[in-house]
Amino acid sequence: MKSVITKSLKLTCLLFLVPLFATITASAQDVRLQLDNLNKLESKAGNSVDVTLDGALLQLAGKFLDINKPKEAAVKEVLAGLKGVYVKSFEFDKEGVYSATDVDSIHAQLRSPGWTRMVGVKSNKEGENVEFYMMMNGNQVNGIAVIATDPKQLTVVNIVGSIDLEKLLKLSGKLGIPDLDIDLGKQKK
Amino acid sequence: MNEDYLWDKTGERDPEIERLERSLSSLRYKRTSKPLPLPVASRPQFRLNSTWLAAAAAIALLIFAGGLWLALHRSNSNEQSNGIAGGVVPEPIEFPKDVSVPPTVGTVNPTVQVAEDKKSDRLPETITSRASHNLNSSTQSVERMQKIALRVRNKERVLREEETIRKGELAKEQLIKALQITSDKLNAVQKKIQGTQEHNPIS
Repeated sequence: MKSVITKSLKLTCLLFLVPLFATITASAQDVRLQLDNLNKLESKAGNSVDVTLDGALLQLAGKFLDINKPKEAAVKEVLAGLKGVYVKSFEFDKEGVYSATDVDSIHAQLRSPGWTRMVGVKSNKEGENVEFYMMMNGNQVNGIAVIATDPKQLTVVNIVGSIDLEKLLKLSGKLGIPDLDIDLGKQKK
Repeated sequence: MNEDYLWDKTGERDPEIERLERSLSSLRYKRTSKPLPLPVASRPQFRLNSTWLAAAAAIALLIFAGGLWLALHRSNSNEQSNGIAGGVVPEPIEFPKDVSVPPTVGTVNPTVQVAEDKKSDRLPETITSRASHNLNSSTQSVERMQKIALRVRNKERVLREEETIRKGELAKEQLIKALQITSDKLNAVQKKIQGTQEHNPIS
């Protein structure tokens, strides 16, 4: 009789946990964007950045951040709550190397429920376009996505997990590594 | 009546005796039990010879090696856990130059053993000497093998730690780069929004 009760409880827990786990996994997958279709641009780009950091690597990276160094301490503050950081950035030598269809698949993912387009800045003169998306759960940010395009550059950022945007915005100044971004260079002019 | 045939079946056959034999054949003596064993002078006594001595030495060696391995294994496990907890980096590997000829330093001294055997006249000298020497050299070899294995394990651990450090540093650089790009993009958006608001102030 006792074994029957124990087995029943175990089965109940299992039946409860499996759908819960599946829901959580599905949710995490939704926040993470599939950027693999951009890999083909790497060979065409003059400069490229490809960052794929999942939970385990983020934790490992966090252990190597020195809080006594201001830059790394600022990064560590932003790191808390992150589950994944995925960045693909390409700089091309000439215009028209990538097409709108390359970005369309990412836009399609960002049209799924949960994602909200917060800001879109478009410059017809320079052909520059920056879009900022957020996935919210109440007041909590579960993930962000940034798509920045201009004729010679394509950058897609996807961050999974709760993130403090104010700290992230301040990070650029704290890191103090200017002129790596074409956008900033153009603005300076 | 022919008596020779009656006594030892030699000579001329006697029909009357044959008839009597046939009629009495059912009562003839038949042996049912086994014959008694012949008297044995003495059973072979147990003797301590070279075969028994070699077997005993082998068993003793096995027990000793097993105990040694167990002790070293335990001490190694303790050392490893302490090393990881305390961040101790083990010394680099130095393989022994001469493994084949171990020094005759140990708990059993063959010469003394031989001398004692001579005195008591219990065992032949050569057998005891060889067994002791074999035991000693085998123990030394086992110890050396254990040390080598320990050093190899330490080396592997160091390599794993180095690999983790390398991965961690790379992940850190990537993280900083990724967050920097993200931050720059968001700042660019913010500046453009602010610029637009300045150019087109809300009246």
